Amino acid sequence: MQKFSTPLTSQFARIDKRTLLLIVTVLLMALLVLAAGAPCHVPPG
Amino acid sequence: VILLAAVLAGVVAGALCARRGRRQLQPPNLKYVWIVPLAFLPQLMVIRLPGIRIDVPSEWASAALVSTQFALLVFVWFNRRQAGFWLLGLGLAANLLVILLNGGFMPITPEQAARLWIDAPPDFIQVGQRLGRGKDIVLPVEQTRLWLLSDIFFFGFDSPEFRAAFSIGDVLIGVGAFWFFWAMGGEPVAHAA
Repeated sequence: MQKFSTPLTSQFARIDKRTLLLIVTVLLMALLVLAAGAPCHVPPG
Repeated sequence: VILLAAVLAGVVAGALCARRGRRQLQPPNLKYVWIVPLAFLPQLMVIRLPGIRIDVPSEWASAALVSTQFALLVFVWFNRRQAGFWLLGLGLAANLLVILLNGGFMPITPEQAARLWIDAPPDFIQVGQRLGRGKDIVLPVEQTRLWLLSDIFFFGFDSPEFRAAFSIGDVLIGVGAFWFFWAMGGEPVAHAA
């Protein structure tokens, strides 16, 4: 059990970190293009 | 919406690219990421959020817009080796240049504004005035400096929410963002830094 859980745990930790970094990168880039771009559109409502 | 669609399309393209090569999407280590939310803050306060945004004189709104773009250019410069960032920077610089040359806002012609704001009251679109609380100023072609870099393109459907006028700079920013995410899949260009 010990032999199995350690690599699995570390693998999950690695995947989580990468996924988290990916999510942060997507959010950051979304913010960047929103702030950098200047398209003109009609706001909702 | 158009630019967010570019980000989304880039993520999907990058994921497909990675899947084809049996890899995982590899987010790069971007430097000085805190600049982006910090740069967005003034724009969020005075331009972006209806209900929350502060009604300030146009000069302040213009200063917020310009300072945001300057700060983002700095961020792009620090990360210039990332895939697509040179296009992003070029787009940002193009937008910033035309904004600086036209009183601190992105110029849009009255005709283009009327295509967007079909149901607007007659006095809403006024030459020389800021368009609503947004980033644009209404200027005819002959009064616009570097008209080619202004919001000359139009994209739209019947629903007002899906109509937009945009610039060459916006196109470059969208393509740059798409490229950045596409490259995360490992192809066509590996992240350099």
